[in-house]
Order: sequence, then structure tokens, then C-alpha cells
Amino acid sequence: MVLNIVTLVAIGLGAGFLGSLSGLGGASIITPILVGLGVPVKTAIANSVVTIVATSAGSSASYLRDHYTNIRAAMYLELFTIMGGIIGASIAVLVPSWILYFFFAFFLLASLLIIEKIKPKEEGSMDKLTAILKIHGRYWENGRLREYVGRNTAIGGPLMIIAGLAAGALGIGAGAFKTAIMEGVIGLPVKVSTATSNFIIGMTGLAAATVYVKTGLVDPFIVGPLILGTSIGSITGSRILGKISDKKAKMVSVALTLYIIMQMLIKGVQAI
Amino acid sequence: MNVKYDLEKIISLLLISCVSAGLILIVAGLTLSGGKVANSEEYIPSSMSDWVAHGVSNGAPRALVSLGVTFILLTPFLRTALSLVWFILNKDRVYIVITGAVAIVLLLAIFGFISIF
Repeated sequence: MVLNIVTLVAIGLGAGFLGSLSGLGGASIITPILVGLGVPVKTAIANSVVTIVATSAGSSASYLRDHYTNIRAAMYLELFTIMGGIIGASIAVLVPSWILYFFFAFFLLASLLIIEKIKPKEEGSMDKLTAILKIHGRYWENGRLREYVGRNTAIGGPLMIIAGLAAGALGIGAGAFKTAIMEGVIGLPVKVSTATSNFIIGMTGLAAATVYVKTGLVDPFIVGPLILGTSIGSITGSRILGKISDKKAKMVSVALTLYIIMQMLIKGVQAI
Repeated sequence: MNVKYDLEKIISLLLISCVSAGLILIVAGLTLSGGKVANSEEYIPSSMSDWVAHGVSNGAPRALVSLGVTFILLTPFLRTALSLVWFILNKDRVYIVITGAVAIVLLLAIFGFISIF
């Protein structure tokens, strides 16, 4: 399979743009596009996982400055996501390709359904472990200081292994899933969950990438143009996101997710 | 917290610098290569250090792109190392242990010691 550098930059641009507009993340879109162009699914996953590290670092910078990101929560949860990421990537390398297509479709569908159900629970008091982990914080919102405390970290942490596993095996950020755990289980505010999830996916990406690099599937000359594209695309996407209605963004997200699910299912059936 | 420096700001700065530097290297390499095809069927080294070494022996474009990608890929590790130093300076025992553990797992993974192959 031969891919032109210009084509790769363009794929990155489109994926980064739609990824940040829909909240799916660029990598969830890169893999289906590459697969559609005839790249083997494992190669597609291995290379798109590296782009996550760049997108995460780029988008985290402004969240950090605004103090939305909770670094302590991130550090604690990363302990679990990196283990999940390494295990997930190793599984992906070992299993037959058709399983990955189906898992990809299944995970996107599950995320779509679960995330609709999760209701943020911001009230509640800290338990002992969360107090030891000092998972609390404050940030400015609309001119007033908001304080928050976490809880249930004993459950939230291990749950992150699953998020890491899916992220590592599919070469995606699984950001929506991570945000759901932080909002629904640990009880962090939406903004803090989104920012912290954005921060964590880069770390999980690196952990998974170490496994894929070892297999010789990651080519800097494929990853480089993709990173360039996604970086520009995701910045443009996030600018436009502020200008369109939530309803439109949601529609883009659902339509895109359903399209990717269908494509992966078809590919999966063909690969059996 | 007895150290004045704001960890969020330091990490934010680190991330921006690393990604910018990586992107500049990638753009430079891709420009020098003249937009040639990226062929995934040729030999691809299986470690980050070999990418760079292979790149250096295969001309400037490949060396620059490999270096840029490696740089970006390592940013999460760099921010872990920086956080660890910050937690040590602040004598935050719990997070010295947590961050230290993350750093060790990452180091082992980066150098290829964690593997089932």
C-alpha cells in the first residue's frame, strides 16, 4: 500500500476537524479512513495511535492554563490507563484482524449508548481514598470560583483499565468513555472531566504506541503527515465548535459514529 | 503547597514547546523530501531510537521526520518526569509514589522491556 504524503496530510486535516467537532477524536476517524483506502487494520491502528499524543498535548495546553485540568486526578487515573493501553495494544497485535473491526464497531456503539445514559453527579462527599489522593480543585467559571470534590476513586481508577484497554486495542483516545467515568463515577464537573480526559488520552496513547512501535508497524513517514494534518484540523474544528449549536454538533457526532460503525462491520464481515 | 511555581502553567508551556518543535521538524523533513510517497512496505525500524538512527543513515528528510515524531511521542513522558520533580519539591509523598510508578512503567515500555512477544 502506497500513500502519498499530501493524501496523508489531507486525511489528518479532515479527521482532526471532524474529530474535534464531533468529540469523537481524530484517531477514531483516521483508522476507518485508512482502512477504507486499503491499509491493513493493524497498521491503521498502530499509526493513528501516535497522532493522539499530538492532539492531546495541543488541546491540553489551553485547558491547563485555565486550570480545568486536574493533574492529580490525571496522574492517578493514568496509572490504570497505561496498563490498559499496553495490554490492549498487545491483544490487538495478537488477535485476527476481523475481531478488531467488530470490536471497533461495538465499542463506538457502546460509547454512544452509555454516554447518553450517564448523568453527571456533582454532589456528594469525599471518601477516604479520594481524600488521600487529594482529588479536588477549583476553577473559574463565568466570573465566579467553583470548587469541586471527587469521590469513588477506588472504583473509578480500575474502571479506567477498561478505557485504556479499548484505547490501546483500537488506537483511539476513548475520550468520551473516560469523560463518562470521571463525570458519572468520580463526580468531577463536566469541564474538569473533559479537560482531564483530554490530558490522559495522550499518556494512554504513548503507552499503547510503545507496543505498536515494537512490531514495526509504525512508520514515521506515515505518522508525520497525519500529525501535521490532525494538529491543524483539530484547532480549526474546535474554533468552529464554539460557533455552531450543540444540536448540530451532536448530529454530526451521531451521523459520523453510525457511518463508522457500518463501515467497520462491513470490513469485518469481509475479513472473516 | 509551598513551592510557588504553578505546575499547570509549566506543563502547558512544556506541551506547547514540544509539539511545536516536533511539528517544525516534521514540516522541515516533509518539505525536504519533496512530498515523495510514504511507502509503508519498506523496512521500518521497531524502536524510536532505531527510527532516528535509520533516518540519519537515510538522509535528512527521514531523520528530521523521525526526530519530530519521536519528540512528540515522548511529550507525555517528559511531563510525567516534570511532574515528578514538582511533587518531590513539594514533598507530596502520595504523588511521588504514583507519578514515580507511572514514570517507571513508561520507561520500561519505551525501552521495550514490557512485551509479550
